[in-house]
Amino acid sequence: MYEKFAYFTTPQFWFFMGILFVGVAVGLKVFFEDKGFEMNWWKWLLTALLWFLIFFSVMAAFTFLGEGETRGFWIGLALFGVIDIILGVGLWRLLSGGKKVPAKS
Amino acid sequence: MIKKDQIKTKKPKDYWNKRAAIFAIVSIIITWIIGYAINNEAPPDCKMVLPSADFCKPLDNDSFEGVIQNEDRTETIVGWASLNEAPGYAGPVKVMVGIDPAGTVLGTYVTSNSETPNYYERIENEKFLEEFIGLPVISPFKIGEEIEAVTRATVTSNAIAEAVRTASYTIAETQLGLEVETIIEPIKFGAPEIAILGLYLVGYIGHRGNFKYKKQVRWLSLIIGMVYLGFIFNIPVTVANFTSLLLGYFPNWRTNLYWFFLMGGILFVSTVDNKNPYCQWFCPFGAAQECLGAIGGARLWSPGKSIRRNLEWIQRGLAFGAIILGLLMRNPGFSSFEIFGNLFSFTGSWPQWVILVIVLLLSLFIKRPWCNYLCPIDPIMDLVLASHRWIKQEFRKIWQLKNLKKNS
Amino acid sequence: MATQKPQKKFLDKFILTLVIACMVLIVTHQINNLVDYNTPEATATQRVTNSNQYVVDGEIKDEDILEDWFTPTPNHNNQNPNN
Repeated sequence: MYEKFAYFTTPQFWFFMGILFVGVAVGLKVFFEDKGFEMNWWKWLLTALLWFLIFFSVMAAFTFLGEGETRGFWIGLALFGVIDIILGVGLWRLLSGGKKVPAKS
Repeated sequence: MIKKDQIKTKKPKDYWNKRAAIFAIVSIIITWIIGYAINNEAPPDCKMVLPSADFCKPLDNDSFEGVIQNEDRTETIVGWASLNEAPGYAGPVKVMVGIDPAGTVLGTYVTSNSETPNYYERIENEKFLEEFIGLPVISPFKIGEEIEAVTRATVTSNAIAEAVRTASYTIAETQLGLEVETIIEPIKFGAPEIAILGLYLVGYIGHRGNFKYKKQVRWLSLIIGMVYLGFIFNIPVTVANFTSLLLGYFPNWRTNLYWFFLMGGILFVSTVDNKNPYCQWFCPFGAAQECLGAIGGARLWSPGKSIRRNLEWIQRGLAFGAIILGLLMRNPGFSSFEIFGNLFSFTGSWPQWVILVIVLLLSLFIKRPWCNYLCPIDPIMDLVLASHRWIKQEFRKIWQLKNLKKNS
Repeated sequence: MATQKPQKKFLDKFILTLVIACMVLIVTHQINNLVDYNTPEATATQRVTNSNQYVVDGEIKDEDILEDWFTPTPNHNNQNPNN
């Protein structure tokens, strides 16, 4: 089973991962500008930390799956996933300055 | 022209609430009686703890003698078994202990317990019962010395140890003629007891209408409740506590003063002040939801009057069902479905885990979703407060009638 | 304002679905308990002997929740040639 995932250890895969990372960074910059967020160095730092947290959470969960640990996969996904979402929502509120679009019915 | 009797008048909300309350109270009484009648257990087989015995001879004091039938029709005693119980967190834990003629513990078996199933599973997984095997019958069976308690199931571990001790000492005194030391548990008044009393005091001072720092004190109370009653001790109020109360299963007051302070305090404040101090001021899970709500900017969600009312009745139904099941099984821990244990001590069934994930994520956007739509404590406290209010009203009416008759 | 109304309706329905799902899961939990309650328990002889294999070694005194969750399950075939 391990041979199936051998591609993920090749230099080409990490090259594409590099493109993805830069793409995400540039995309986020444009996205925040569109939303009108006022970014500074520590807000970027927090965003980067969250991004790496999400990245490692997904990596950890799928490593469990790759090792045949389906229980660890589901628990890892649920545990890290919930933490990531909570921190993500918190960060979003921080970046948006606490402003919320009022829901008009 | 529309005739008056053609206009459908909706019955007031209190009309259905009163009838539902009467139905609930009557059902609880009937279920209590049925549960008592159907749960008369047959005495357990002593071979559970004396596997080499052919049959068991009953003795006094809930004890049995295990014997082997020899070929020459004589009998050889292989040991004795004794049954005893001790109060666990949600009810008595009954243990059978097997002792061999040399005075060593051969086996232990829990014949019945009322603990929450996921907590009792920890006892089984950690092979806690096997720790007693091989110990001498007059051993003090003290947790922390000869026996290690199971983490996050300490109340159950203590109850089993106490039951094993009492059962072993019965055999030691009656069958082996040994002298045993009476162990009196010291009264435990520690951090949980101080925390709960402190929280009641803070709640009492803080909830006064004109108190200047009400909001800040309430947040402080919530955080302390979440940290101490939740993450550190994991002793929130659950429906099992109310079912234990109805069944008359009180834990050992010497080692569980906290339980008496918690339940006594809630019922006292509800009847005297007509308010529920626990839910809004120090419920640990409520506090966790409010913290998440602060992170996500949660607002009160209302799906519309009729849907809200239907959801309220379902919430009441779930709480009612939990109490009825607990009373039928005479097992308070059995039907407790709260997800507090999942968050605070990572113990629970798979449906509870899914509920926890949904509730935690919803709490980011809507205020206290568990409390408002799912928690069984809310309807129970509503019933207690409403019944108190109605009884007061009835007494007032009777008093007024009496006064009128006197004056006329 | 008109475009927000369907969005709010969808959100309301979504949250309502989640709440009802939780209620169904509570009932599932109760049914699971009832089913387990009536299943014959392991006999005491299994407890007094050491015949059962457990995932967590019974000698671990300091319970490590995370180790318990992420410990390899029995019959685990470690495929990684580096281990």
